[in-house]
Amino acid sequence: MRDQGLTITQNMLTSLGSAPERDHRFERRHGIGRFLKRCSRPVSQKTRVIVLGCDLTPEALAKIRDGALDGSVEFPLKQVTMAIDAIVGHIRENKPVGR
Amino acid sequence: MFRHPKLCRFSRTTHEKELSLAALALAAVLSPAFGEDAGKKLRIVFCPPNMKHSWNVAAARAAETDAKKLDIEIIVQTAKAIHQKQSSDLRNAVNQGVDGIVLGANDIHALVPAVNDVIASGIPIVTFDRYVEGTTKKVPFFGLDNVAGGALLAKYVIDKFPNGAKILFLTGQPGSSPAIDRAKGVHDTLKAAGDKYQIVAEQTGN
Repeated sequence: MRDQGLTITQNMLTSLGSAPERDHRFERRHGIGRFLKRCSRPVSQKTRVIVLGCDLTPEALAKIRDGALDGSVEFPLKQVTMAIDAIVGHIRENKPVGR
Repeated sequence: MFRHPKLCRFSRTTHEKELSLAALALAAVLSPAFGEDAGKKLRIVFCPPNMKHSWNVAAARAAETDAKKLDIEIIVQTAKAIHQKQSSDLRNAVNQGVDGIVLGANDIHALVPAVNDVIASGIPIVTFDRYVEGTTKKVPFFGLDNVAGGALLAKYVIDKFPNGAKILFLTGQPGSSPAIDRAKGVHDTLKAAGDKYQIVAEQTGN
């Protein structure tokens, strides 16, 4: 999935006039976000690139610390436990489950 | 930390990473064993859309942890991002006579016939993270405002590039509610900011 995302991004950058070369060792070592920044550079030396993501998993947080990602919107996992708690409450105690 | 009133949060530095869940209310603590046969645990099927994505792996872990707390059995059935498999998983769950289903729907519409079968069976079903639309009866949804999340991404870009920007936009799984809603939030916010913000390329990353 990540590999696909990277390939698509490279294709899009290529279509915009940049032709980034893949460097699998660099990707493995530094992650996709940092590689995206590097391969975006040839668009223009003056271009500033930021990379944003979604979900803010602990892994993504590490990437932000590392500088590979500039930011991420968080979608907390609490929604999972709330869903389970609600359905169990409904089954056990007939509590209503609202939308 | 930039916080959105509708529960989305934007973390952007190492110093702004505290995990505050204040806006999310905990469900009430449940008393055990009401309506359950003695010695038999409730069996709840948990259907994340796929396990390739680290968020869903973490979601499955959270479900298993919650199951221990509630003293129930959680059966994780991952759909591998295939609608047909998720539909089959739902119908299998009905045939197995499970007590409830918690679904992260692969697709907003494709799962509707299978969800309707679940509804017809009388087995309780709720969705998390990804909802479905068009079912015979509304299915409760536990998730966040993804339109607001997309808007938050776009606002960050606008804030960082006040003179305009060219944007490559990688979206999520086509047909899934978060991908649809986040894209709406991004598009609407950038459009409102004017022509100087251009999405020069947009494709799904899945």
